[in-house]
Amino acid sequence: MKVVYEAIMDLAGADMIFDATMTGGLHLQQQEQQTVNEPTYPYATFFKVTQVPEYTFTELGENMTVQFDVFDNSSSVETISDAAVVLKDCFDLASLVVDGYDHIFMKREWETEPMSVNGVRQISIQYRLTIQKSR
Amino acid sequence: MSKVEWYGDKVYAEYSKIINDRVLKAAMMIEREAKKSMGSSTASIMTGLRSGAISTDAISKSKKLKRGKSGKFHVASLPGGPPNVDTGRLRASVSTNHSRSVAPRGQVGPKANAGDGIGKPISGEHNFVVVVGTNVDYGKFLELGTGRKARPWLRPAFEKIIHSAKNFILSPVNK
Repeated sequence: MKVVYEAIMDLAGADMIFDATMTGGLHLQQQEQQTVNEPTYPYATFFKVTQVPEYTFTELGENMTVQFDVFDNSSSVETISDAAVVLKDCFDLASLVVDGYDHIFMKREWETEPMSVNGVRQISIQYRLTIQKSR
Repeated sequence: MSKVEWYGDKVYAEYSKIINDRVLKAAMMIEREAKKSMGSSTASIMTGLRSGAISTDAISKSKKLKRGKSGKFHVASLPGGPPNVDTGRLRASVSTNHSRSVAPRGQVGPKANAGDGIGKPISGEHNFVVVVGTNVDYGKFLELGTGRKARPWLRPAFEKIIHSAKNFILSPVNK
């Protein structure tokens, strides 16, 4: 699913507001280990939760769920809430353009309230990707 | 003069019972799949499935292997996959409960703590609600991640089962 991950990164990269708000960037799985400095907040990560093939008479598809997490360490919950809104604006009902696939559609399913672990707040947002392969 | 008798209420009650039973069974299938997906730490060590083979001799020498809360050597599962079992508390606590249950909490396994297990969901008069999950705190952290990589165990089980569960629930009723 490398192509899908790349398409997600490209979509975020092309969104100027996303870029400006999510100063720590968007990362697959986990932000890189920082040897000296603390990570730059807010930042977002995403990973594949499940991927189930779906076959119909005429189509070959995949039903994939992807979880995005937004992290922030500021004392106010406002920063992470704003970052989550920007992420949703970027990915809600988005179509990804990928060679070899006719249709990749992103639908938001749920998001969590901000939860705090060791002083870092986190909001998780799940999207379902409906993927139709070209035949 | 012919007489027409209406058995609609009886049929509705019978049919509801059958469907509710099926929904509950489907939920239990998800519970079973979630529990089944959680790997054994020992098996990971013996087979080297996680990160290269580790011989049993190397277990005591390796500094990377740490003892878990159970006191046994624990190998974390690969990120993105279901967690490996250490004490077994989470796995034992995963339970199913439904809105017409007489039990306040879903039945949990012997390794779960007192009070573990899912509470009875609330529903309206005609709704039948089923829940599967855990009330153990770290179950949520493993499922969603906390800055560290997540190890989802409930959603993959749900996605794996839901298609066949739907077919099972909606299959014709032979009565």
